[in-house]
Amino acid sequence: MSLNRPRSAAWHAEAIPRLPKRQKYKGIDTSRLADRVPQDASGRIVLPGTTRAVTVSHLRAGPSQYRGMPRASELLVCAHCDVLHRAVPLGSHEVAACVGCGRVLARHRSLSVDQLLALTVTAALLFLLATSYPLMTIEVGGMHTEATVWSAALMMLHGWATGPAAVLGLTTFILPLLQVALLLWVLTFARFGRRAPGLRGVLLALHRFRPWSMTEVFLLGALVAIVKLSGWVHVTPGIGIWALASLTILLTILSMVEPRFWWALLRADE
Amino acid sequence: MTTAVRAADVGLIACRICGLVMQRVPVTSLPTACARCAALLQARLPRSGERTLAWLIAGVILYIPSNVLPVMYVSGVGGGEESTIIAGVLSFWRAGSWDIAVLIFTASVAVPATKFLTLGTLLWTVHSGTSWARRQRTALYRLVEFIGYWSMLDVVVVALTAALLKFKALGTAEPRLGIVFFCGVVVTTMMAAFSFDPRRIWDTPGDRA
Repeated sequence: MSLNRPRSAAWHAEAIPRLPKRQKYKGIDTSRLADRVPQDASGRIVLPGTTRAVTVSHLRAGPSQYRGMPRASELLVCAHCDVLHRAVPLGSHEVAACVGCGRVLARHRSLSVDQLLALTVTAALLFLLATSYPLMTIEVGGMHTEATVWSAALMMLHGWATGPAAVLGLTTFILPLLQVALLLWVLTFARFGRRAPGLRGVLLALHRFRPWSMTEVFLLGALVAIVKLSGWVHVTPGIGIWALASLTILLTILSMVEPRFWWALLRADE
Repeated sequence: MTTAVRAADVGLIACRICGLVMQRVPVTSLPTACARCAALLQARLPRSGERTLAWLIAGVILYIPSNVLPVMYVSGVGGGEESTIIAGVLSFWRAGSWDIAVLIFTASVAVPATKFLTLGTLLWTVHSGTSWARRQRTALYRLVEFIGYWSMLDVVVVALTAALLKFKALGTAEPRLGIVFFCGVVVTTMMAAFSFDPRRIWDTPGDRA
C-alpha cells in the first residue's frame, strides 16, 4: 500500500511550529482549506498538481453512490490507521468497518432527532431520580444509613482523600450531568431546526467529557458494594440504583450515535 | 489491503476532533486549524511516544503503593482491620463469593497490569518500526482504550462502603491512603492511552520526519 510518492517536510505535522495558545487561531487562511477534493469520472481522487490518480477504497462494494466531486463530508478517515474511505449511506443495523484496521467508522442511525431528544429528556429525569434517592440502605441494630451518588464522593472528601473524591465526583456526578445537560441544549435547538448558541464549544466539551464519564462503572461498583455488604448487614437496594441502571442504558444508546451526526449540525463554512 | 489508501499519502488530513476531511495546503509558518471545529490540525499527535511513556512510567510507579498500602479500614465490634486490594479479593474468595473476587481482581489488578504490558509493547513495536501484526496491534490499542476506566471500580466500592458503614462502635469503614495512589493509576493509565497515537503503528519508519 506504499505509494512511493516523493516526500517533503511539508507533509508532516511535526514540521508545523506550534504557536502560543493565544495566537493559535489568528491569521489562518481558512479559505485555503479546501472542502472539495478533485476526482475523475471513475471515482478516483486526482491529486492536485500531479497527473497520478489513486483509487479510494470503498466502505462497501458496489456501484458508487456519488459521481464527480465528492464533498469532504463524503470522505471518512479512520482515526486509528489513517485509511481513507468514501462514506456511503448505511442500511438499518449496518455498521461500516475500516478496511485497514477494522475499527467501526460509522453506524446506521435509526433514531431521529425527536427520538434522541425524548431519550435525553428521559435521561435527565432519571439522573434527577438517581441522585435524589438513595442507592441503597443498610441496617445495623435498629440504626440505618443510606448512600446516594454524591455521598460516595463526599465521604472521600475528608482529609487527604480529596484527590479520589474529586475524580469520583467529576466522573460519576458532574460529567454525566453536564453531558445530559449539553445534549439537551443541542437537541432542543436541533428539534426546531435551529443551531444551538455556542454549538462548537458544546460539541468540543461533549467530545472531551465522553471518555471520563463513568456512570456504568459506578453502577457496577454499587452492585459490588451491595453484594459485599450483604454478607455482614441487611442491605436494601433503593430507587436510586434502578434509576442509575436505566440511566446507564440510555447514556449507552446516546453514545452510539456517531460523532459525524453531531458535527454535521455545525456548518463548515461558518 | 493493497487498495487501502492512507489520507496522509494523498494530501488529505482528517480533524482529530470532528473528523472533517480536508486537503492539506503547503505549509506556511502558521499552524492550520480545522475549518469546522477550529481544533489544531496535526497529522500525528506530536511526541505521542514520549508522552505515553511518561504517563506509563508514572502509572507503574503509582501501581506499587496502590497494591502495597491498605485501601480501606473496617472496624467492627471485634476491633479494626486495614485491608489492601489483594486482601479484599482473598477475603471474598474465602467467603465463597468467587465471582466478586474475580471481578475486583480483574478490574483492580489485572486491568492496570494489562495496560502497562500492552502500551509498553505498542510503544516498543512502534519505536522499532516493525510492520508485524498491525491490524492486531491496533485492535490491542482499542482494548486498552475500552478497559481504561473500569479500574475505577474499586474506588467506587471503597467510597460507597465508607459512606454506608458509619455505625460508630458497631461498624465503620474509612478509605486509606492506598486508594489515592490507586485513583492515580487509573488517571495516569487513561492519559497514557489517550496520548498514544495508533496511526504510528501504521507508519513505516521512512514516512516520519
